[in-house]
Amino acid sequence: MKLSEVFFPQDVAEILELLRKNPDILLLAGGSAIVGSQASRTISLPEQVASIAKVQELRKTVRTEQFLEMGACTTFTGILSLAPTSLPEPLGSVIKAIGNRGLRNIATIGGNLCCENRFLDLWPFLSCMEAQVEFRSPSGSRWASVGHLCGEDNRPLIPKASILSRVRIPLYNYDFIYYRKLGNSLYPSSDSAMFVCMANIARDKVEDFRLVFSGDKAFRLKDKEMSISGKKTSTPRREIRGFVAEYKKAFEEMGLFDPRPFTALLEDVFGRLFL
Amino acid sequence: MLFASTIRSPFHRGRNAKVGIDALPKGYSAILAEDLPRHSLFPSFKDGIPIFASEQISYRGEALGLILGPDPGSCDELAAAARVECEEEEPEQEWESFSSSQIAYHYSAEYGDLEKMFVASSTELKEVYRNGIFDHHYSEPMGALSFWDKETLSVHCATQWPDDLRRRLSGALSLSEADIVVHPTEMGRTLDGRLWYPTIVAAQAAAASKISGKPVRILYTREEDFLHTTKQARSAVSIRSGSDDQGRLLALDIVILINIGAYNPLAPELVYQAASAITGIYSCPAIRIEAYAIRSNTIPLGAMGSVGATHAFFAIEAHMNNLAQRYSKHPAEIKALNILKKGQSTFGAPGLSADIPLDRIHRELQLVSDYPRKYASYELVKKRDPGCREGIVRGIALTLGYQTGRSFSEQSTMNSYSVEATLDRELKLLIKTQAAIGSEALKTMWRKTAAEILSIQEEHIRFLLPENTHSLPSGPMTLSRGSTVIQHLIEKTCRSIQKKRFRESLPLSAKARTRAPKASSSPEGLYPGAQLLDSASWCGTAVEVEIDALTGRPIPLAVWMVIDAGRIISMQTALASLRASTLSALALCTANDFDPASAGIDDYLADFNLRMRDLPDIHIRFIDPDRNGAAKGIGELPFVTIPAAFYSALTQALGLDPRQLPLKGGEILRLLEGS
Amino acid sequence: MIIDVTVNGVPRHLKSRSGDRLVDMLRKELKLLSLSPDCLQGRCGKCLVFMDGRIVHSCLVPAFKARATTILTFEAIAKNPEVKDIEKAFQITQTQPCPFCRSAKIMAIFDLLSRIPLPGEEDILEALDMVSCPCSDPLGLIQAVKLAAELRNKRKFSREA
Ligand code: FES
Ligand code: FES
Repeated sequence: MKLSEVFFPQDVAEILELLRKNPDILLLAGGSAIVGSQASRTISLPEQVASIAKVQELRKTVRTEQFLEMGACTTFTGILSLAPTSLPEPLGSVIKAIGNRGLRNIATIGGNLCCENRFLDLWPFLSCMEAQVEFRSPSGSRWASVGHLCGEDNRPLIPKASILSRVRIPLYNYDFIYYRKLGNSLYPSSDSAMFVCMANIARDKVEDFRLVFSGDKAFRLKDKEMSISGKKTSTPRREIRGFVAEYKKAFEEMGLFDPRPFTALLEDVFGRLFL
Repeated sequence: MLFASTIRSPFHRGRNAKVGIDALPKGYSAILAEDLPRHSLFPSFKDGIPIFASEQISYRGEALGLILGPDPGSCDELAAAARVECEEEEPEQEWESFSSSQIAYHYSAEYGDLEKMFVASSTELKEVYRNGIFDHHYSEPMGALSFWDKETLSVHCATQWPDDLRRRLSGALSLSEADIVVHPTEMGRTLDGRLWYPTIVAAQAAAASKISGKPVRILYTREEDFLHTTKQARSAVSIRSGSDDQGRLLALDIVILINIGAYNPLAPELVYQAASAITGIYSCPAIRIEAYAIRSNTIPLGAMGSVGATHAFFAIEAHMNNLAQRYSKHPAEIKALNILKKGQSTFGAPGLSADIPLDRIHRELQLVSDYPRKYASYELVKKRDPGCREGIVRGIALTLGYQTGRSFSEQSTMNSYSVEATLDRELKLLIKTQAAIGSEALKTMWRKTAAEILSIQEEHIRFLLPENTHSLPSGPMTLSRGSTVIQHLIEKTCRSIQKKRFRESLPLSAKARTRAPKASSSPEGLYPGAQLLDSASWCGTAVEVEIDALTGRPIPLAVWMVIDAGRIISMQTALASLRASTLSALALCTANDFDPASAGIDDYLADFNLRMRDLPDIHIRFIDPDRNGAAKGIGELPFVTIPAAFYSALTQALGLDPRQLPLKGGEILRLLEGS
Repeated sequence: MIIDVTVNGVPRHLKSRSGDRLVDMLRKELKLLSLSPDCLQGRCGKCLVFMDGRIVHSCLVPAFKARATTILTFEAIAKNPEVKDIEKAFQITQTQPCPFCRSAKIMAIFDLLSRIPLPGEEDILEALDMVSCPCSDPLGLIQAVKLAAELRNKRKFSREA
């Protein structure tokens, strides 16, 4: 068995020091995605691993009027144990539907966002909710949109030589929330994907329209979202059909997924949003 | 104890395999085919089945040898690092158009004047129905532990057929049967996935333990088990039917192809069971069946729940639905017209003397499931909203089937069972039988039976495997054999003890055994159905399905079953067993088709997608459960009827017939679009 | 490496390698045979343990992550009267699981009843989601869990009274 060197940093400073010495060190929080994706008797890990689940700084939760801020090592159970009013919709029900209780006891929000081979369930929601993530590296720290975890190739992009330390979710409730999980399995598998659409309806207008489709890749058209935001709910059908067609075309052109389920969901969501 | 990991072939097909292993760490060793006597494990099967492949590689993943050592993880790594070379050959993956060398078993039978009846038919319909590969999802991955105790070889293994395992080991390792002790371990639910494959694993462990002189344990990981061990066979069933102007069947010309993968020693049994099931429900004056077990260079494939019957029921029920469409009639109407009844003819039984309860089941099932109304209203919805824009896509279907307690293999041992019971002075009963390895549910039922007859406490009844079964060959433990045949034998022995109790003092013993079928009742050239029907339990199942029109995901809404299985000994156990089987059978219907070329553990896990919370409403009704007489098996009924009913309900919902199982969400959406 | 961990109340220094799963370390080093790793994916539940009071699938936990934690396995839990309640409920409802998943089911139900003494159907299903077993009758199991809760509450209540 190829042995790895395992470190147990006590705080973020120690993690940063480890990152400085070896930018490729694997930071392992819950480990459920990394370990759970291997079905062999022994787990294969890179040369150096840092077990960070117990770093207190990464487990803190802060709630202000505007946002909920969670350390990346907060487990799903930890999140669910917050007062229901602290959690913006529909996070609670989405997290409750992830895996099973045993898994939620170890899986962390940071781990869910930093899965290398696919977007797991939280990303599309946090992306719609315009959540922010904090990256810390030996050279400093920065906040960025959760969208930065998606690369130009529409695949997950996990920043190297830094740690995703905190997640900040705006406490903003959307009037319209629509999501569907696709695929044959309740757990991530080759055909699973998530379709999420959120918006606000104010004075007969659709505002803050967001639409994300993600699986092993991700699809989001920010410019389209902007052009749809502000439209009247009574926008003529012809125009709505135009949006649907544009979305479909872009989706097909990008060729990321089988367009069939996306198309069906798209038509459904636009039908519901624009009466 | 040494752990063992399997060195596997990376080639689909090849000759003269050579395995290269670098110097192994201290304490580790390798065992390859060349270290063993050159005996085939299943010499009865065409070309035999080896313990380790060497001259001929038949599938990717086939075992070529073992790495033994003190740490299982390291054994895995060393086995994976072995270099395998061979004279690679073009694999035979194609099986629907097969060459004669691929035929492992062929059975053909004909009854009535087929051509004349086709000429007399007003409607002819020909379709092919395909069934995919499914995993058994048994309770524990394959494994075996073997050690030598002086001159005796002990083998611990979860096998449904310990007696056969001992016989095979004796032949392959040149040992006397008396020197081998097989300890069958708990099996949980097997769905017939442990009929013969465990023999290979046990033989490998036994050989390794013989050579190393140490206890050896092989335990597959779930992934290894999923990727490399036997699964339900793929099948393609072509049915050409001729019917009169009312829809009454006049002629059936059937070709059954069962892909058994690299090998399966039970190929004849699969073929017989499929052939008899396909003609065991509907009456037809002229039938021709050609049934083949076809080999291909993939993992071994074979039995699932009801051996080969599931494929057959699926195909014939789908065909009856298609026939109904052709006549613009309710499927139930067409079925009612054709259901096999007492006095009607079928192969080998010119006038059925047995009273077959299918007609009654069919009628009651329609009533309890509200089938006619639901069917009509879903048809109406479909007409109004053909593209399913309103998002409600539902279908309902009913199917008929049976499960039998008999087998047709030439091996007389397949049908031999024995029970020996002893009641001691403390009124404790010891039952020695193959059934000692049966499921807890079955044991509960047997305990109840014995306790009732002998008026003793259920807790005082124990089951044990007879020590000397080699003197009494015994068939495999399957759901139907267990509950039908062994139940009967237990009743018999207990009754005989009870009779003696008034005359003789305790302890008292009694034995009972089934007789092997006489040579004259060999199935060759004879239609097996008539023989099967005497021990069958009958079932009608209706399934109501909804399709999520947006994701294509099929959701089972409700299941109704009407069952005639003779006397029901424990209603609670019977219902629990049927509900558990229903959940598993529904999970199969929505599972991913196993693709030997690309399958991964994700696909296996995806198959568990029907969780307990997804269990639909299940309504089960038994016909005359309190009657006197024999109790019969029920555990397989959901597996033989639900796939066909589920599929037919999907067909109604989709408005077209995909002619294949399983169906994934994506495919369903494609079909919805086309409908 | 040596992992310092308290298992079933006893402080231990267990040998393990970086690629070992917690379930394997516990089985190999301490012969805790109630654990029977199967799927290695956090689905079957045959490796359930309590880690610092929370139930987890120990196949998903690298052994090194157990450092400085407290682990409880079925071997320790089995002595609890709660487990007797669960077993009795299995017996009465005739839902005794086969040995493969017996301890897994008991662990999941034990965890449930210690959090929610009177669980509803949804809570029960959530708990049983941790154990995927091919031979269970769901309705029977739900009944068994409800009965186990009843037995437990009765026992506790009468003692307190
Ligand atoms: S082995 Fe851990 S859940 Fe299956
Ligand atoms: S494996 Fe769970 S009851 Fe059999």
